[in-house]
Amino acid sequence: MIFYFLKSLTLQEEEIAMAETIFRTADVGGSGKITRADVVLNSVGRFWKADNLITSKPINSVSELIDFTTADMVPGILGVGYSIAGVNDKHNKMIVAPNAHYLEGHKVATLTLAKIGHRYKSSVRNDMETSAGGVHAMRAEAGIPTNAPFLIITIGTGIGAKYALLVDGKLVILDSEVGHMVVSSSPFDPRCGDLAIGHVEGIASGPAIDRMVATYLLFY
Amino acid sequence: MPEGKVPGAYLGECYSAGEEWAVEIYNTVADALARLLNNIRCAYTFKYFVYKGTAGTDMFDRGIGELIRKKVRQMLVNPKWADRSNLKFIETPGPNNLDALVGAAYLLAADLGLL
Ligand SMILES: [Zn+2]
Repeated sequence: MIFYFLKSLTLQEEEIAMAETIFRTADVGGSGKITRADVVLNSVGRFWKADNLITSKPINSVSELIDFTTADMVPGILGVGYSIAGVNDKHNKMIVAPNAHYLEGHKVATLTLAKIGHRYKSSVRNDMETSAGGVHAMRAEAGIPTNAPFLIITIGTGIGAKYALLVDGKLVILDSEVGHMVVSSSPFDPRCGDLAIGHVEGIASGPAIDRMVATYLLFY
Repeated sequence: MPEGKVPGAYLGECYSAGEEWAVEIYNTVADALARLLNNIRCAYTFKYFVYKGTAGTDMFDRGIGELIRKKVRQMLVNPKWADRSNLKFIETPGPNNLDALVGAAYLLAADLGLL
């Protein structure tokens, strides 16, 4: 974290001098493990530092998730934010959670506040939305100019992307399902998880590449 | 494939060693990603293409970005959009999904009207 702390010193001095805000955040990863941190932002929402970065053992229930996420809260924390792959309703209830099916049907933000009290705020966000928000808050670290729009793309178990731009100075993250864009018209292409042929996720995601490697190695 | 190797990692090593089968797979993947990039770029303007994910990061470390650039140049309505000054491949900052942790804080701060 020292590296990021030093990097943030490149921000303008008046930004540093302004008040900071602290949030406890948790990332629900594909491995079943949760990583939490105390993220400090400066008053204009730029990343300042992340303290107490800890990864859990594999977690299997909503109560375990909330217990781990809200443990050892430091003074000054304003709220608890979750980054969870899938679909949520009103930044609260998980509808689809491919990395954590145990969360489906649960109002994660409501349950969190029931545990820690309503003086805090809590919200659940899609993992690509949080990545876009994080890159925006870390433009200095990423080398992206203040107002430049950007595309963030994950190439992992699946393929997802968000387009982020500023409208009247506010970050706007456009919703999309780019993993299911058709990028090939060969009938011999492998099938995507949704069984369609020619989707980019069926060709260029991690599992798709692994399958291609296995197939090629049979012939070479 | 050597025992205990992850297919993606083995692919990367063989690609860097110039093995024909691995180059073919990289070309297939680069072609798919170039088409994706072309499609999105046709709708939205951006210079900064930020990537993350284990599979993607490994391939970008091994230079798939320049393969994608070469291919997307032939697809874009304006080939200049593929110039290095107009299309920059950037790895997302930070380990441990730091971007997601920071973004969860940023979006909550925005919801609270603090930004
Ligand atoms: Zn699909």
